[in-house]
Amino acid sequence: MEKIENEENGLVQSQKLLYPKLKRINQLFRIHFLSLILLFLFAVAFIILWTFLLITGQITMELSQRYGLFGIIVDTFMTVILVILIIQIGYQIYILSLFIIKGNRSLKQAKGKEETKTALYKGIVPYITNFYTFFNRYAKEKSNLSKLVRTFFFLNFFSGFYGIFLISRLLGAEITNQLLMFVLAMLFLAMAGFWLMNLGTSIKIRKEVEKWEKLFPKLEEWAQKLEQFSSENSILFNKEEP
Amino acid sequence: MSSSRRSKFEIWAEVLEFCLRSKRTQTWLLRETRLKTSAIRETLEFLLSRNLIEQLNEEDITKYRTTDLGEEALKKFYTLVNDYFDLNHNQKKI
Repeated sequence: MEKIENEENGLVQSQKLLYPKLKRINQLFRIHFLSLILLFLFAVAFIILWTFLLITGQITMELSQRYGLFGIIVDTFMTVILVILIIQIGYQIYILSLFIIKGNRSLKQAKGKEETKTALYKGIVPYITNFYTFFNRYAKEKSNLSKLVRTFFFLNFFSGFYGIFLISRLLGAEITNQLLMFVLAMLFLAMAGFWLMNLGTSIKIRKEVEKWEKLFPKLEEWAQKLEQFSSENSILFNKEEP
Repeated sequence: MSSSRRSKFEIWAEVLEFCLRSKRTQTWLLRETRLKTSAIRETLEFLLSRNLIEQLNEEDITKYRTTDLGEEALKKFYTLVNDYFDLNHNQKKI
């Protein structure tokens, strides 16, 4: 006979508490991911337009006007750095997509009648394990996930700051086509907006990741206890831990 | 368990949860956990040996169900997770 969950069941209560929490974490990751993608797309569009204007000579920078060839070299160098920073954002998108796609797939509350009866909160364990897999992959290669998140946060902050600095120099540039100037300005505003949004979510994600980092060794301990488990010492899990 | 990067605790918790409210066949678990046959057998043998799941034979079909002991272990798993997010603490407050 199937077990029917009741509201007093501790397990169902735990799941009920945990499910909205995981949903919120997942939502946070999704917003972060979306802001990263939009930032990336706008930055790519901006850099393409910028390079096009520089090559066709429709834009003349203040530096090159003042210092000639030296100014051009500095402008090119700064643009190359911006491209490198955009590439690292692309890398972040790749890494996060591996985690988010799987997470979204697993965290779906069962909706069907039969499903609700058999698995009330179906995706909780797969979601935790997905987080763990993601965590473990980077725990082996790098030192830990929170370090990776901190690095990303720093790179995003730096690239955004640098981008704003570089683009603010547009004020001193001469652009023959006013429409293109307007497009550049709009792209810049969009980039700045998504950059700020991304920084906000990065800070929240860092806090979450630090929590998970402390949780996983405890779950490993749980598994070790199961390994030591036998029918004789079945009381193991019933004992309150100090 | 070499078929994936998942560790033991992840697979055990998943199987315990899948078998909690319904009896499941090995084929069903194989499909849901996406493990190799050898890995799911190993998992089931381990959980059976620890009395965390029980084997039921219904019309020549072998099914598995989480025992009370298994449910207790799963509860502990959730308690650990909830503790880390201060959810148990918040519940006590309410």
